[in-house]
Amino acid sequence: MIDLIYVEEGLERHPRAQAIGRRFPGATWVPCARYTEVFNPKAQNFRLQKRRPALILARKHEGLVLEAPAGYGLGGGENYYFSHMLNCLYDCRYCFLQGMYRSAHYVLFVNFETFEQAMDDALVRAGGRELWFFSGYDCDSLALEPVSGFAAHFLAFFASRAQARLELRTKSTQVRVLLEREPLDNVVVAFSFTPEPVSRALEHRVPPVAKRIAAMARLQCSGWRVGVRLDPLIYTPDYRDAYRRLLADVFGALDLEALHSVSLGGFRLPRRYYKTIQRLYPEEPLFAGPLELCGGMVSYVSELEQELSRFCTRELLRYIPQERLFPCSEAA
Amino acid sequence: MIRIVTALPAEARPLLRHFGLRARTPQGMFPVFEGEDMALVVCGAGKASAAAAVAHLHGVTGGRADRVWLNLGVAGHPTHRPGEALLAHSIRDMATGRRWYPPQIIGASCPGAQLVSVDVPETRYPEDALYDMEAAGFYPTATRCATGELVQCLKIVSDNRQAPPGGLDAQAVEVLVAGQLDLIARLLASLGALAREGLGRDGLADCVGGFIEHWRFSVSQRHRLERVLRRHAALAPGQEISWREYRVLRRARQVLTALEHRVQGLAGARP
Repeated sequence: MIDLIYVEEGLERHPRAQAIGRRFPGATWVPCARYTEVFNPKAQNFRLQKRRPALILARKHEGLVLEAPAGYGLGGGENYYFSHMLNCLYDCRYCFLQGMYRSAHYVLFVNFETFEQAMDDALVRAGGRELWFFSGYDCDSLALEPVSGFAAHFLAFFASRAQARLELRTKSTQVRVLLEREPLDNVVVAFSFTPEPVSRALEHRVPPVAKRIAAMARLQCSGWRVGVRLDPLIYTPDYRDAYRRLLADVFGALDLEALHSVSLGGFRLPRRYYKTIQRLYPEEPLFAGPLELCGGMVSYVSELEQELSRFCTRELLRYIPQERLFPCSEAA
Repeated sequence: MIRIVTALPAEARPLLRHFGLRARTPQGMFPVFEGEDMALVVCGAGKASAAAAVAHLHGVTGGRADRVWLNLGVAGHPTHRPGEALLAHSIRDMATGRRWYPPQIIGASCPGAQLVSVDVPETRYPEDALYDMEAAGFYPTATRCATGELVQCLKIVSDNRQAPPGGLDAQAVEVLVAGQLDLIARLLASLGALAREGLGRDGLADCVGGFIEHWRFSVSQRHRLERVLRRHAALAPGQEISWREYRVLRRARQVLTALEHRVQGLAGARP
């Protein structure tokens, strides 16, 4: 899977780098001073690199834990996000990462302990207040778990910090690391879904919806708290039937009493990202659809967006109470 | 689609024969050779010459962005045997310390190596790396003409600690390059396929051309035209759209309105 690994000088002997080396014994290692030398140059094509991304092992020095944007949260406490990785194993056509980064290489920050220190600092500053830490903004939280060991490491950290809450957001079925240990009450594993036909068309390399539902149900059965994320909502001419079927499949497999939360959000991209992605994929119907530019964001035309959101909210409330539903809004 | 830069005529000659390239006349700043879908420039030694030759070749061959660029030549290496081919996965300019990392997207057709570009020939080979004199000029200039995935440096080892470069003459260089022609052809074919798949794939030029030949579009109207035709291609793949369908309309503005209305219908804006 990985046959080229760039490594920041000085990290070659890092235990996580060495473990990854043992996992990919045939990989070529290329030293670099900073990951940005490889990741940031202009003359790169995300679409071409997605055919064969390399792994970059790096250290994160600043901005380890950041305040989440307004409207991004689950109703309680203060919200932070952090990214142990940049880029994702999957290739979802609606994903903003395609427009944000020039490179599709996976950057893995191996200094997990520095992230933990930043979280502890935030917890001290918060006094006794509850803090949420969201993982899965710049990457999928679990998709590369067998390589990164991210969840295995951070679950141990959160196990001893009841005041801290962790959301692992994923489209992966890599849940073994969770199933092999006692569930934690302060961790939510949130699975993202679009209807199966949309997923097949837009979520390349992502496990099928049915397998993700099965993984989520297995986790819930073993006592983990799980959440459902319908973000982004994608319009198709038959979206009503498609979302009805999706919700029936998802909620039919779960114990609704034990479900932690459901959130939903519209398809939206900052204008600059949208233009970049459209240049990369001019043949993609998603970007030729009924979209409009409003306040620097490209999203479905407002009438359509509201209809989609209203419909899905209405359908969701047939399964869950209002207090477990969290609309995600840029303007919130 | 393929652009090749070599430092020496001896590096170029096997390629000229193999790919049937002919000298371009009149000769400009650098000797340029052309064939079907391929052009080669001989730049002379040094990174400044390599950079200038890339710019020259880009200019004289139409300046399009969807080209493959290959710097091909001989290089020293402390341990690899003469005749071995290595693809540079990183390039360092010894004089400035600047580094570049050509993205390696195509499957490995040969091993990779670090490449150090020096200003004077290196015969001590202090690092486990290839040593040449052009890549640090070639790569940053070629990546102004094309995306980095399509810009590569392939070096054939000509000398090492056991076989110093003293006895290397033009004939020996030709033999070294000729020995890797199959590999070079495979590499170019893979890069060419990558360029075709990843870039320039919406093929709107012909369609747009039909419209702008029959109506007068302003610059901003032409951008609108391209946008609407691209949307149509995405929403109705395989369905041709021709200017002839709109020939009863007199003005470009009317044509644009009609096209936009048609595409709006395809987009299904109503819930």
